[in-house]
Amino acid sequence: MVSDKNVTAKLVALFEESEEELIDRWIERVEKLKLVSGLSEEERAKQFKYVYHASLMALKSEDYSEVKALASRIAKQGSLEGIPVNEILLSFMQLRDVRIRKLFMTYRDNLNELLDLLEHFEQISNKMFSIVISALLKEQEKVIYEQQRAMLELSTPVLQLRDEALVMPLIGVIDSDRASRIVEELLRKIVETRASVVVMDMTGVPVIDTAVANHILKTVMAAKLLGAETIITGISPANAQTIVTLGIDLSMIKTKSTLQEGIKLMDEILGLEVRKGHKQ
Amino acid sequence: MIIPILKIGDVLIVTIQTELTDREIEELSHDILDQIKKVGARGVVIDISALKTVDSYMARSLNSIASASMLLGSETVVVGIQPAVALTLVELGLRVSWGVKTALNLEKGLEMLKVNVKKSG
Amino acid sequence: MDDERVLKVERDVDVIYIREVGREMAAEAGFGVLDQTRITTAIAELARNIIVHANCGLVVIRKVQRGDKIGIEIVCKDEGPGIEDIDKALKEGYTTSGGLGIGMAGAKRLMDEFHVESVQDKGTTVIVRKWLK
Repeated sequence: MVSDKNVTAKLVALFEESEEELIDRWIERVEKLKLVSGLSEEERAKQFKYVYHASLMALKSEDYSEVKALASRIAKQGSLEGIPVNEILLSFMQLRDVRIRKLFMTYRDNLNELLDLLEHFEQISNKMFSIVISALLKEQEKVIYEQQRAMLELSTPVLQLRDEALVMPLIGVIDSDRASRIVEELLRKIVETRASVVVMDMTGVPVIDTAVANHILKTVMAAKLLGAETIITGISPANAQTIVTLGIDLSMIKTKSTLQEGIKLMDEILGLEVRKGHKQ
Repeated sequence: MIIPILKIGDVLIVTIQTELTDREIEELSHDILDQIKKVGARGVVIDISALKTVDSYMARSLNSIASASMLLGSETVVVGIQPAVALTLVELGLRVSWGVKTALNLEKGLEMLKVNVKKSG
Repeated sequence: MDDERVLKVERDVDVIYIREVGREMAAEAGFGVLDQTRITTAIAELARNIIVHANCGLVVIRKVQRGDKIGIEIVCKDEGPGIEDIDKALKEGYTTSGGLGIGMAGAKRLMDEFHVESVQDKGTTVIVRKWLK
């Protein structure tokens, strides 16, 4: 039985001296399987070299920092360029396979030594695979999170109903993340459309607690500073009761029970302004 | 720092173009009130669209100008508050008691004054 | 741009300079316009507190890192009379100087983290941080 240190040194030496040969074979296999074909030849050669060296470093000193950094970079790039996750994974596997083959060829006459080397190589290899898979999963989670965000934004449309009037139907649970996006989007839209009245419909908001009520107050105040009046509609009787029980004062806010009535009030406010303005 | 106070009709227009120190804000308040008295202005529009920061001192000063101008028979509208500034002011703790009238821009501010002056006159 | 700036505050014009430095550093750290405005405004409130209560002091603005989070930290230090009752000072509308009474409480709301240490007749140190999301 050879010592671990010895095993490591032998593996490193073998893979260092056969680097060119193994990278060539690796590329050959990847090409044959038509993997990561989205990458240009140049780019692929560059990336493969990085991977080869990072994995060699992990093998040499069991320092996986390079592998980690590289894996997350590749995962990110892959998702950006639309390279399928399985292709990335299969490409990594090809490298392991060409290395194992090399091990077999080199140590075919010494089964005991071969088994020792394999044992160690497999450990390190598996560890690297787990790192790559976590990086890919993490990237995938990020993509899903982004999609959810995009969907939430879609679910908070700000509609321009009249020349200077916006309607914002809120649907679903409002957490503080979403609340901040709602207010930012609304302010942006007020500036963009020069709106002077906004109707915010809460019919689709299941629960209005202290946090949500405070967000509403904040939104109304901020819109007011930009010169836009806000009308809140669609607060359910149950929610109205909660608001009163919580002792939240919404009395400075214009409220109407239905969206329809809110729009009527909006027209009154607009009409009033237009008529007076024209009298001038 | 001298901030020009323009008179158009019976309205004063004040455009703040740079960040002001506390002392400069105080001086400006005096100037505005003096001018209201001098020209008998019915309204004042203060344009702060160039300001990237409005802190509590500035907010309080604008409120004082608005209240004092009211006593002189003139209405003040603050226009051009940037969205980020508006949200920050609310988070800072600006309350409904901040009784300053606001409008999106100069044009809308003037329109607002016209309507209100008509109403009261 | 440096990763840390130490700035003296004793006149009202310093407040404007310091908050602009804060804005630049916040922008450089990657904060968007809204957060830049929050940070700048918090700096203005805290720096003004120094002038009003202690005449002069120091403001340190630095980029900070915790784990994989990046943020900005502002330390405001003075050797003034200290705050008698911190809880009271953080209450809405409380003022000893005739201000709007939202300076400290407001700065706290605008930032993610807020620490204050005050010793009577020795001075006050306020540390605030905001993290990039």
